[in-house]
Amino acid sequence: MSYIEIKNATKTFETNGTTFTAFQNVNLTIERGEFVCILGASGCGKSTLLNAMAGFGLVTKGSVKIDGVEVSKPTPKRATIFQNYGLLPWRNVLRNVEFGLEGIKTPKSERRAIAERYVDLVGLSAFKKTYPRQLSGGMQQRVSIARALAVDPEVLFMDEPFGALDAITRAKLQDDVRRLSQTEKKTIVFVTHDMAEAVYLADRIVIMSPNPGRVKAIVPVPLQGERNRIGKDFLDFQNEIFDLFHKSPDDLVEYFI
Amino acid sequence: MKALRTIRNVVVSFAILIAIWQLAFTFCHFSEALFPSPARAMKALVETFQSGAMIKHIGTSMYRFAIGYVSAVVIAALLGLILGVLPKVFQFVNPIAQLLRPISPMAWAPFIVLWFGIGDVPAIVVVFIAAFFPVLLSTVAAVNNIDPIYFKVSQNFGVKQPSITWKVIFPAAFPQIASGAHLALGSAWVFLAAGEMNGVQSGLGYMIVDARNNLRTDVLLATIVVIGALGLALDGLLRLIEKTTLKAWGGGEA
Repeated sequence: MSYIEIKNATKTFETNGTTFTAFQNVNLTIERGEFVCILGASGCGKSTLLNAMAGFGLVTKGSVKIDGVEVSKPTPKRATIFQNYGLLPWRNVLRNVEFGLEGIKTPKSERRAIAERYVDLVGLSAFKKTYPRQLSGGMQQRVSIARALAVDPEVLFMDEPFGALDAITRAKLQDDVRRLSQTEKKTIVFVTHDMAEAVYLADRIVIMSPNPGRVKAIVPVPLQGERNRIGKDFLDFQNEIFDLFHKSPDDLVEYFI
Repeated sequence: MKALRTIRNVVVSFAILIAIWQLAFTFCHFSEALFPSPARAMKALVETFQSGAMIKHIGTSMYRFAIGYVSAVVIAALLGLILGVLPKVFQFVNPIAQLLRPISPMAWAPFIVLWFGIGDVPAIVVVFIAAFFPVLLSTVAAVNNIDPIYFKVSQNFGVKQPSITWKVIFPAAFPQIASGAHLALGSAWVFLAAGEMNGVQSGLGYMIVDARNNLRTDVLLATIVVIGALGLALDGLLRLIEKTTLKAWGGGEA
């Protein structure tokens, strides 16, 4: 039995009497410790699928099981990282990281030390007393990663976490997440619309297509060890993904930026 | 430098006001008893301060204002937080609030005197009513405006009620509550003087009534000047408090 098992999952929304299908008949399994990227254009239901796994919006049909149990609500065992960080602006960096620890009832005496450790881990030692508004977007996202890791979750759900960052900062954070995924040994499900990002990070890439959202292909990434963004095998594989994306002429893939 | 320029602007604008006053006095042919000159009003101001009457009345007024305003802000903010979290209850409270809000606190004055008698309480109640609704409604709006991501994060980390209210909802709503309280300060101050014109024998509002009864228009104007100056000072004080607390609230404006 796989760690995460999604079977025939469908999610529909009712708005003003019309039914909108976010995704349909999705089947996907994810193993413990895997790094899976869900890649797709806007409107393909990839974030909705992630939310269904994280427990923020349950599927209408089919099932989503994690560790054999149907997902019913969010839990600190699975931390979600949002694109817009979700930091509390009235708390400084350290206190933001402590927020998650307060939620899981870590004794007060231990919170500070744990928070410090994770702030150090994401490289923000010099900004412990700084407030989110005084930090750059990339630094804010590091804080939210530290906050998620501090509660020692089994899974990290990342919903286009670097979508709002500039290219240089994004590359830096991608390096960090890759490094953390190896040292912290977490299962990571990462939603993105950036092919290079998916190729750089994932063990497996789940390609989704829109209208209605469904899984088009699941591709293991054949690259081993350190990945070189401009290496030949990297670019070749990225081209393969690109071709897969555009394979069926029936599917109109649009990018909204 | 910026502060210096502000002070200069204030001095210049007050000088213009006094000049207009003086001109009006010179060219309008009211008797001095009906329309005192700036100099007369100034003399009356000094006189009332020297006799100690002004200080005593200011003290009384400030006491009533502080009690009425602070209790209104605290109660309205707490009630607003509760109603903000319970939108189903607010649906029923809102029409009542909207009905009561446009009624001038002074319209209740006869009842207030009948129910609470004379003394400090009527003025306190008038100030309370004046401050209550703006703070209540802005608090409810503030709670409804909270970015849903804070609730998602709380839910994710298992932070539950009542922790969410004091760890997330109150701090997230605080800046808007503070601006509601700031707005309420102005209208509460306006109604303080009005509230003191009934059923009391002290305070700035009473001074106005008393000056009118004695035909001391100079004292009347001096009192008006004091009410204006104190209102301005209170507003400045609250602005300062707001600025410092918002700074502690995440570095103020970006």
